[in-house]
Amino acid sequence: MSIEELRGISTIFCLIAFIGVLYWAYGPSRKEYFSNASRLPFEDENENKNVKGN
Amino acid sequence: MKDHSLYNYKVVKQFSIMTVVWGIVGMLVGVLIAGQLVWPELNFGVPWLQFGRLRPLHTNAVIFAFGGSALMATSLYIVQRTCQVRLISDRLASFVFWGWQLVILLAAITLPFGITSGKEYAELEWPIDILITLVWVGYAVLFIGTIVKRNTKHIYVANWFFSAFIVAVAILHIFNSLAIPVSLYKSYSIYSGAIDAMVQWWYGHNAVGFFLTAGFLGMMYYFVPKQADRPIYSYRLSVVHFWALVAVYVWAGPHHLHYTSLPDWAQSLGMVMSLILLAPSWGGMINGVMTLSGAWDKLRTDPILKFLVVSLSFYGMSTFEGPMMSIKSVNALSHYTDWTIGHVHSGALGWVAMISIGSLYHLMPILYGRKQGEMYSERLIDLHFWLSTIGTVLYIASMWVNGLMQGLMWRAVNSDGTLTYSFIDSVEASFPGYVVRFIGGAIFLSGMLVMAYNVWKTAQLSKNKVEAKEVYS
Repeated sequence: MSIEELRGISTIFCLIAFIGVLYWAYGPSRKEYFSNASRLPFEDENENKNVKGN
Repeated sequence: MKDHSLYNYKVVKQFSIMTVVWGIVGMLVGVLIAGQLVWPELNFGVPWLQFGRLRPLHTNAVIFAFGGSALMATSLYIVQRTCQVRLISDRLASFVFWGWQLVILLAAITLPFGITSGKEYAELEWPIDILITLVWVGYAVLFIGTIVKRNTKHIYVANWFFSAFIVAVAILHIFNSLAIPVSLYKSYSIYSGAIDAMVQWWYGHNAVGFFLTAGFLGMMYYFVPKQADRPIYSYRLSVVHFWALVAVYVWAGPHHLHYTSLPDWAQSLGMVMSLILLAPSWGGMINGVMTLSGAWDKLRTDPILKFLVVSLSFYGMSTFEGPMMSIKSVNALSHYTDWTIGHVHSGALGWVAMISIGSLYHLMPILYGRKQGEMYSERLIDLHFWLSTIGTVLYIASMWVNGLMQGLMWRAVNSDGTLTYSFIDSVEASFPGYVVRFIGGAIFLSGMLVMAYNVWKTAQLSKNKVEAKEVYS
């Protein structure tokens, strides 16, 4: 494998990894999952505030 | 878990107080050496007060003593609150606190004596390096062990950032500090030449990327939502932010070595990766600032939120400036000038210090049994906010002017090809900028003294309250 091929493959690999992260973060089936996580800072308060997640 | 007495707040309080103490010490040394650049006599002819020895003391004190204590205080607080579990070990927590204070003390003794390995931000000699490694591993076990033991399903994003900071700093510290000791006080790096330079700036820039950025972003992702009383603008953006930031930062180091003997391709790679970094940096900044959307009015009344949001603005500014300065042709003008010092301080004062100060004002009252942000005096927080902002602006504006002027003077040539200015001409021309920088730094430091007073009074309030309870119950 030449250095040019290696560069091309690594660029494509980075692109695929980035798209993978985007898909993981913005996939519609995980909306509720991340919304729950975003409420964590408010979950252990004494008074329950019912902050809506994002 | 609702009962805060189940958390270990002792170590959080210890680190929080030392953040204020080391902040004052580190910034005082900074103001002193800024003064030396205006009035050289300020070294009093004493070897251990020379600029060359005090400058690493200043950088170590503000980064590792002030910044490090702030990171340890907030990370150990946040991990307990968001995992709803106590730290895995109180004894390990004490070891991390006292071990870290010992490292700082040893740094404060050895650096003025001129005991140094000469690597920027890694000056401490090998016995201290080994102690740092032990304390850091203890910190990693304490923090990550607590995450493992959590009572929640999710690991909150702040803990992801703190974990990346802890793991990356461990790797960076160990590999950059590899050295052969020749005596108790002296060692030589196992790397040489261009490789040594590359390893040093792989370490140096990731100290910025993981210590001064990822760690403080962890702080941001908890305290901004908490103080604004609403969740982060987009949790899903924070996931992309995290992975993009940690994947790209590790490659940016070579931009510190433009036009040196480092291979050209490595310089170009460093430049391109630094430019790409703008995207995750601004993604994170926008995520933090937009958390206030729909509640902008809080900025008018809440000085703690002002600290947090203005720190994000400075973060946005310096993470725009950084990629610009990493472009080779811009770097040809900016490198070795005061512009770099200005850039560092827009990050260090504007971002790192101000987000820490804002977070501490939120945190301190809780540690003294009061409501979040309920310090002794809100007006003093507001005063501190303005002192910090004005101090930072004076500092960075004067260094921009000096830096551009120095860069232009050094490259100016006459029609016959000779240099227009001698080096000393540029030093003389820098004098007014050094005076303004000294004033800006002193103003910022005075804000820290206001904070110390406010914290002390807050502690007294809670002490009186406890005593009153004992009398009347």
